[in-house]
Amino acid sequence: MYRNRGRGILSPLRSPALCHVKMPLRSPYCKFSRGGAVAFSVVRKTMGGNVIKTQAINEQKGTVLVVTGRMDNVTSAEFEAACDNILQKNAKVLVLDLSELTYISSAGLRSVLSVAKKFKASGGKVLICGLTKMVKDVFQISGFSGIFPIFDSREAALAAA
Amino acid sequence: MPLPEAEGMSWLRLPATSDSIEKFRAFILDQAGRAGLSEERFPVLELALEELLVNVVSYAYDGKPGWIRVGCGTGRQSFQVWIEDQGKSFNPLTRAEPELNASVEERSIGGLGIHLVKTLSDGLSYRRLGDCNLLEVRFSL
Repeated sequence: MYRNRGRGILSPLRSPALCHVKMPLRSPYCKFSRGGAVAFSVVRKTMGGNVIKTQAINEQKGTVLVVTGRMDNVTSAEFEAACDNILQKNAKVLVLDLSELTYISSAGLRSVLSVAKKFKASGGKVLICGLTKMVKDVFQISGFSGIFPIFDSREAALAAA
Repeated sequence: MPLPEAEGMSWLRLPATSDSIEKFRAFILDQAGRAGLSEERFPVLELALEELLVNVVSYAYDGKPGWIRVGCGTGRQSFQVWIEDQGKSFNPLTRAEPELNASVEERSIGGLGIHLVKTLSDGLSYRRLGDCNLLEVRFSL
């Protein structure tokens, strides 16, 4: 069922009672995977179904941030914090891999725009790849498709960076 | 409040706080499933609700306590959602259309939420009924 899709990510980690904890649950860990070093990974679940997971991967031409789950009025702050973390490490190229992002609202768009403005202000740039249908529709309607370089794959985005 | 189209609808009334948004979301998705709305439409339904409910929670009561009442039902070959509050009069449909072609540096986000709801739903309307705001959003079945 759609409504349960996002919840599976964390259900083994947290009991329902813990969902009322106000502090975000962070579980940073380091590991290596295909393509590059996974620098930082964050999972957050709030009350109900708001789930976001971010994973930063350092590549030769820039940093890829893989965003999984939902970017809504609750979880977008977590996304911005992950991007700020990358910016603070003086990264100039940020590739947002959104191929596992199933939902975005105007709060999420606001965060993406805010991150892009910060990178641009420090002489960097943000590229986007892998839009799911819902996210693609929202990008189209909001005009984001015209103001961001969007690629089909992470490899294509890095090649153009 | 009697609503002409409201026969057989289910209602949920909760405080106008951000904690309530998740409860409304679960309620509306459950009702949409019962009404037979295609699950492909669920992300768009959720988007509409988030945009409209966040607006009410943030602005309707100017930080004072208040309530939101959400109703779901079917009619006119649609799944219909009503969002009612007793806050200050506000018609989100009268907001200016956002500037969609500005560059990253110049772009702002004001009004984008309502623009998304208008475009992705199959109908959005507003009425002031007595001292209440009433939004109706429809999704074709």
